[in-house]
Amino acid sequence: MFAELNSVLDIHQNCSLDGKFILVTDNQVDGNFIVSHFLSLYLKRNNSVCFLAFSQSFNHYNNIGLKLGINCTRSREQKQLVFIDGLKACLESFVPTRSDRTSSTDCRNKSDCAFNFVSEVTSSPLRNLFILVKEQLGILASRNCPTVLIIDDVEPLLDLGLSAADVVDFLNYISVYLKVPCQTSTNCLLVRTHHDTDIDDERCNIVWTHCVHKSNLSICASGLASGFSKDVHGQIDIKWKDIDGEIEKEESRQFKVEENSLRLFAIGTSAAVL
Amino acid sequence: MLEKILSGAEDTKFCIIEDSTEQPSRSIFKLYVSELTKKNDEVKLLLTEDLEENFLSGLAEAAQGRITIYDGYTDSCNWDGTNCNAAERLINDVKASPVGKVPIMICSLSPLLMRSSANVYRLLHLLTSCKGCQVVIANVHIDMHDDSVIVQLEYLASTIVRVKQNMECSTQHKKPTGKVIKKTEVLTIADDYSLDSCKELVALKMPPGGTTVAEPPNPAANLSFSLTLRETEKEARSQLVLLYTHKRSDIVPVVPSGGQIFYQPDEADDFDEDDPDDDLDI
Repeated sequence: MFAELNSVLDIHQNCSLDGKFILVTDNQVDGNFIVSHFLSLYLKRNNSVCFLAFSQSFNHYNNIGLKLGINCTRSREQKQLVFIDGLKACLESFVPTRSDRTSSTDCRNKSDCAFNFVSEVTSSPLRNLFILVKEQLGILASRNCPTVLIIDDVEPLLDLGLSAADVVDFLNYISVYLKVPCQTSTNCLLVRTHHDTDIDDERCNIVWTHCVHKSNLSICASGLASGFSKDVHGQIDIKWKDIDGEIEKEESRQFKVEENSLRLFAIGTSAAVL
Repeated sequence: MLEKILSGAEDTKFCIIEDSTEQPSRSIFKLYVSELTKKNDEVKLLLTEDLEENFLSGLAEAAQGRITIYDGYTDSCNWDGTNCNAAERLINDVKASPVGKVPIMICSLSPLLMRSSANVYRLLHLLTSCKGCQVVIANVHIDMHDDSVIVQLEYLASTIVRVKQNMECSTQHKKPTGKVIKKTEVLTIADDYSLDSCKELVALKMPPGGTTVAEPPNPAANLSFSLTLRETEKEARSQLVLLYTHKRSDIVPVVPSGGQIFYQPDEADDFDEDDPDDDLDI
């Protein structure tokens, strides 16, 4: 959990992110640190977290979590965290292996059909995945704590051949189930996607645009226009939107990711520049 | 223009409100809903991208009571098995409505267009051709679709509202006679989404005869002396004799004095016909 990012996001102990649709976008820079930040934030707040991973394995998040002061393995054992390893499940639906019997995925038997969209053509390819996620969220809801679903990220679904409409339908169903964005909801949805301005990917752009329309907190990490710098890794643009989608507040900071922390500074005020 | 459309003074069958991520139109769409509920007993609303609770928040209670919601969002693909096709139910209800009485709002067309644009055109055709339909007003996110889809929608629409920054709306209305009216208005929306004010932005009119090119500044204007000569001055100048100029009468003809030399070569003269510089390579 990065204290400086919490400060810019105006997240403090009494401030709630309930009912929020948070969109994390990265543009020509890796925005994984923002996802790790929110994972550690929610676990430390004792929220129930369902993590649907398509870009990294459990060990990746576990290792980063240890640096940020959380233990994903223990949270998983305590049923506070449910980790759905979409990356591995997609591969296994292509090539069934012996690891099917000893998979690290929490819901192996149900994920057999949840990821069948990889190898089968169906009219509603992500329906089974939604049912799987819904069941896991239902189990987490029994903890009587606010529930969070983190999807990291949605672009591999498009790379697997799904249409933008399929992914948008899936996100809509998840939003309806979690009731986000909504002021009266206690749940939260965090979706990470890419929007590389140097790549013209139509389907990815449609999904990203849909998420921008739906989200009420948008965090975009982008590389510097002037190129790579070892002292300033990029810029974070944060937008808060009201219920009608109008921008309420905007913040921009430049950042540098360090071993265990994130340094944020106003644009142009890096020590390397001054 | 907005007030005329809402009051029915300008006849329109299908009005489309175009927005984007930079310029969302939700508040303007809610304004349309709010104003239509004041003039009609019922407004039918097809929701395809938001929860009913979210959409209704902020609207006056009287307005909420007059809205009939068709939920095409919570189970849009029938994954939950509720088997509720909101669009079909809307069409059936509009067909059963009294003639020309019910305004229909769709928020928004984008999720429907993503699934099948042909089905959207069919839905719009069925709704606008129903006798029970007063007007269909729908919004669409233009940045989620191909230009061709938007062009087709604009072709079908009789009124196109393009949302710009600072609550500025550019409206293009096609009259049944074929005349096209374009107006830009700035809206002020109250907290309960009713219309506070609607001011038309009028483009500054140019003077007749088109634009006039500004003349370049004349550096010779406003000088303390004159750069040109009058005729009398020219004559005076021509008569002036400069000091160093000799008058023709002053020139004394030179009379050669003394002898003159005449040369006549003789035979002993060494006259070489060859060019002495012939060997030079110039």
